[in-house]
Amino acid sequence: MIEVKEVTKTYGDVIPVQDANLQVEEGEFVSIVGPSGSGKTTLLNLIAGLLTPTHGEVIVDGVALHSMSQRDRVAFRRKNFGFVFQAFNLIPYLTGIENVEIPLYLAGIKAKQQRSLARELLEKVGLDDKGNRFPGQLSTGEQQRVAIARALANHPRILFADEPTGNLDRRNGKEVMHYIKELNEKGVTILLVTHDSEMADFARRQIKLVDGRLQR
Amino acid sequence: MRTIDFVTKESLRRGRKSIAGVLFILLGIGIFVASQTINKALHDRTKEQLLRFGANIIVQPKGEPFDLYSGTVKGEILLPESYVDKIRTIEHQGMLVAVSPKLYERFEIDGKALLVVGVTPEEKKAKPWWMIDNEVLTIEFPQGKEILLGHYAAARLGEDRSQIVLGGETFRVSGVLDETGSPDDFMAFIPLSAMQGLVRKTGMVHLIEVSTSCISCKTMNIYGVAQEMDEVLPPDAQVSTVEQIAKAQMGTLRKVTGLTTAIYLMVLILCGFLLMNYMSSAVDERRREIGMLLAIGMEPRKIQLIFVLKVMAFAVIGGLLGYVMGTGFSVLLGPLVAEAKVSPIISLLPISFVIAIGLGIACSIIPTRRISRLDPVEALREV
Ligand SMILES: Nc1ncnc2c1ncn2[C@@H]1O[C@H](COP(=O)(O)OP(=O)(O)OP(=O)(O)O)[C@@H](O)[C@H]1O
Ligand SMILES: [Mg+2]
Repeated sequence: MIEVKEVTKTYGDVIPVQDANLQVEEGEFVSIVGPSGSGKTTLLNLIAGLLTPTHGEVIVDGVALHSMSQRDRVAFRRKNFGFVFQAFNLIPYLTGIENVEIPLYLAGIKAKQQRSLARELLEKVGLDDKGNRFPGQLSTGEQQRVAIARALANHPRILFADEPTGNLDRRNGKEVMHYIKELNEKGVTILLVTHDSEMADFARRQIKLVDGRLQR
Repeated sequence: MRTIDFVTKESLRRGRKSIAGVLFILLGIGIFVASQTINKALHDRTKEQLLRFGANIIVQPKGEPFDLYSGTVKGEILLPESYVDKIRTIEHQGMLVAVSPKLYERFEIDGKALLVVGVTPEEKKAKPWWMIDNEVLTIEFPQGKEILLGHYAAARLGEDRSQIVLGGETFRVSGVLDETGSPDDFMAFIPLSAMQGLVRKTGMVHLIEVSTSCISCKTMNIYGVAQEMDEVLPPDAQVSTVEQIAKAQMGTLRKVTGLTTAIYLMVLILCGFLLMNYMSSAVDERRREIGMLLAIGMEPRKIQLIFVLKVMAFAVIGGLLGYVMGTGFSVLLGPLVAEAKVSPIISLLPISFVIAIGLGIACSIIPTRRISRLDPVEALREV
């Protein structure tokens, strides 16, 4: 489903990712681990089509992501990818439920329907009673659960999660990982970046990056 | 969520900041509307002046400028009242309808300024349109110790006054004139002799207004009459037609209008810069949000639309409030600063919207263009 073919990314002299080859099948749960600065985030962003490789290509469902036009790539992300960020990135002036509605809005669903779908999504992460709170009125764990609900809203086939537990304590981190694992069990392909081995253990397959190179 | 929700919810949650954005537009539009409204009032007044001015020839001391706005001279040099008789000796005296000498003085009444004019019954001939309750003046024309009040002068002093004290002498209010649309509305009138006694200028006047009739216009025009008057009067008197004075004053007015136009254009440009800066920092502050939205697949154009809608909302509110405040300001303060009655100009409302929206869009083009070039990875990496 995802094919990373000899991908290299350079920034001048810095080479965060070098000659990466990787294949991920539909429904896999892959964690990318490695020390800080080893290129994990860069690799994830390359696969998600947020960065353009200097060499090589990323193929998703047989289509080379970077041969698409910018517009098509944006639409592709919107339809197929979900994102969970380390810093949650909830919109502070919108309530939890409104944040969850954003991908539904982007998919062109009517406002009324968005609301009921978003409520169901919040239920899934155990936050059905806190949807009307603003992110600032939620705990960090709750914020990340809202972010997960948002990532699920467009029924992504691939979920990209860069250190989703990085800003959470152990208990909340594990709770978030349980939701992600549950998703995987429902068939969503997961790419998780973490430098926490305990979190990485949730994955069925681990990939190690050292100085921009994949270790087998 | 709808696109507009990104605008309304953000603006409401960040209320204080939104008010600042609206304020920039309000300021620009307010000053634009105020200057336009006051300019128009001054223009209208000058035009009306030409129609309403009783006299068409003014005799005044040489070197004293006559002010058509207030219908007065400003200076201290006076003319002898006896010049009135000299004027009556011109060859075409049949054309003289009224020869009305005047002496002005400003008085303070309970802290309010009142311009009082000493007049002779000739003034009534010069102003046949003076009315009280829609009736032509009869006994109300001031005699002895009586005072006749202009419409707004009376309103300013308080309608129900039956007497007014000027320089220690009490004058009985003989009547209140209906609105004339001329500076007379802001003045009060007492007999000339009473005024001369009050200010101790016996036998002296500030100016003489001469109204001519046009029965023999074919053989003799107003310039000819002015010419004849010039010949019979000593050289310290200057004879000019109102038309000449009006022309000179229209010229000054044009300069004033030009100046205010320059000022509000500068204010508008300044507001534009402030707004541009405001939008620019709004985009900067929301880089993370924009980066996230781009990452999850929102079109850059749609994000730009959010910012453009926001500026449009500000423009509509700022334009409306600017119009209301600019108009209110000029209507309330116009009579005080310009001694003119200022009325709102409705047609400025759509113009205000157009300018406000145009300004808003023009000033958000550059800041929002950056959105499409924003790199989501960069934006999300910033903490
Ligand atoms: N835009 C860039 N310009 C220059 N260097 C960059 C850029 N982005 C990343 N790098 C460099 O590439 C290397 C890998 O960065 P990356 O963020 O992928 O590491 P990481 O494994 O995610 O680290 P961490 O665990 O700390 O998040 C780092 O040395 C980083 O400084
Ligand atoms: Mg990283």
